[in-house]
Amino acid sequence: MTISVDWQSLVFESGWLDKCDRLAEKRFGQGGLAEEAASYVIEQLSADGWAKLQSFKGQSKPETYLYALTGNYLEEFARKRFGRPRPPEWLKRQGDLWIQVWKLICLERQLVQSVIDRLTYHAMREVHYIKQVITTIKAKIPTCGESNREISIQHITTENDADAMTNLIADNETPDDNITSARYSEVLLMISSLFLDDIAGSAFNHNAIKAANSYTESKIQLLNALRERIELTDEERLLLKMVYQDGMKKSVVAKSLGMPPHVPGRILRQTLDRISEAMQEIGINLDEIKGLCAQ
Amino acid sequence: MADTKQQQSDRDDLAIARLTLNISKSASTPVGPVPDEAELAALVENKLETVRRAQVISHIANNNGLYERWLQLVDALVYVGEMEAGIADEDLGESDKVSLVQKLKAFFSAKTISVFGGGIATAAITLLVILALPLNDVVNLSQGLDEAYGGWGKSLPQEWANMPESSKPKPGFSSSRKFTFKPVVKSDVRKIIESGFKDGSSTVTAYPYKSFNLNPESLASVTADKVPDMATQEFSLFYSTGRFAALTAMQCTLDPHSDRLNDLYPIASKLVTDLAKTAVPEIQPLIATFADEEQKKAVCTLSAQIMNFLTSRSAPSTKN
Repeated sequence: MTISVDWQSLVFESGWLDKCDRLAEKRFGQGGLAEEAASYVIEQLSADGWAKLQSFKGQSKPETYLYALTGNYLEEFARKRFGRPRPPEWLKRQGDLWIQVWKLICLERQLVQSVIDRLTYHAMREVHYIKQVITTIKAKIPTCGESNREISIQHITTENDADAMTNLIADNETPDDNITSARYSEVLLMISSLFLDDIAGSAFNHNAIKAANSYTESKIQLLNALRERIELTDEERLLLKMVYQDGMKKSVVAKSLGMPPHVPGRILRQTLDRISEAMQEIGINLDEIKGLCAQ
Repeated sequence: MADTKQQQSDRDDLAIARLTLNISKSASTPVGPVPDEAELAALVENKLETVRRAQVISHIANNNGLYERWLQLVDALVYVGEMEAGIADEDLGESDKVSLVQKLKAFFSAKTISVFGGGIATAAITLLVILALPLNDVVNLSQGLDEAYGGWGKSLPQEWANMPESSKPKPGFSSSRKFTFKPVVKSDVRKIIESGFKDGSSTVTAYPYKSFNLNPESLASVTADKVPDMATQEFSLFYSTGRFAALTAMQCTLDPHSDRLNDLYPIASKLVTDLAKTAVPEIQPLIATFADEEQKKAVCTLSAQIMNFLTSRSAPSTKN
């Protein structure tokens, strides 16, 4: 059953346009590009007599549904403007926030401070966490931001919405059946770099890579055993991703999932304690991993 | 500079979490259709049925493309101020061990009832003063309100719908009148209480704002970072005051004699005690009449006072 909503009034008369502009500025920084992006969103939403909104069934407030679509159209605009370059595999494995930062700073060459401000707005993330992500990306990709990948507006692809949505859904990553030694080394090195104050200086130098390879070689069976031992529920996995991969505050996560504020912290504590216990039993020592970059 | 123990522990947690996410296998295959934007929006508003909610969470947890869209939505809602993000995480950690109701039951059965013989509820406020310190440890406003909202608060919309129209408060304006008011100059304290009210009321489906002469669009929505001069605890106190009002305004209208209000009495008492300590002049009239009342009545009196404050059109004094 569809619900009748006066989308035109909602978009043009309720103050929603201001919020759309703000979201475009959050995504692209202030200036002409953000204005173009906001216009693109309105064009898409209003096309064919607001046809894309007609499937709304009233499960949420209409505004929330609009925000969900707006985010998609802003990303679609970015893809059309900057193309769809694929991030390095190691970066993809770090999660969505890392890809977002890579896009904003390396591809779209937005100002670092502006990106930090926007990603930590309303204290939704810790500033130092975003800085660490940026520093690590710049350390691993020295050419970050050197070339502008923007493509001319005349060369916008004609990818239609349905295709775009299918592509997004098709991005589902199936975890590998086996993890190679090189992948373990890379993961361990990234984790070790979390404990360094000067990531750029020493995290990914020759000695550190050698130490990570050597550690992996000696512990590969234990790492595989840990991998077999770790079991996460969907809720645990989602909470771990939102908090520890994408740096979201637990209070935001709780709100977004309709949980009482203290629940994500409790679930995460239990999960991390369980995994920590498994690591100890198997013989994986976190202190050894921490020290890899310092070699 | 060397890390504190807490910082070290946080980094260890981050390291273990990152290791886990990078090497763990996916334990489950999501069932049910892949959620669309409408269902993501419904999830963020907590409007999905339990089974479907679990299915949608499973899809989001295991599908990176969908996860990206989910994160985009949450990011957007926080950014435009539709979702509260200002409560510090460190404020959430200590309250999750035992249900507040269980704590209160234990507290009152061990102390109140043995002292007063179980029936003299009116003396409880005196006891609160005498035992202020231990009770402060017991009562966590935010958690208590969460439990009430998540428990009987969920049935309020249905009960309100079943209530005879003649028993509902009459709005101070006709239904055909445009639903706007003249802007009021608001103090920070009022804005925070309004934000708490807005937060609480948004978790109740179809909140009857008009019955309480409120326009949700006129209610402020501020986060702790917007009032940097105010201590986090004080912010949380005013915020909880608003949330308390949103819940009790409905319950007191529906049934001012409900036992549910007894459950809220310790929360009301703590609010009054803590609000008195703030010495904010505009707050003091709200709490002046609390102590002499019987429990349920005391809760509803406090609720009515806060609602009067929220609907007052005069410019309050500001606290600087």
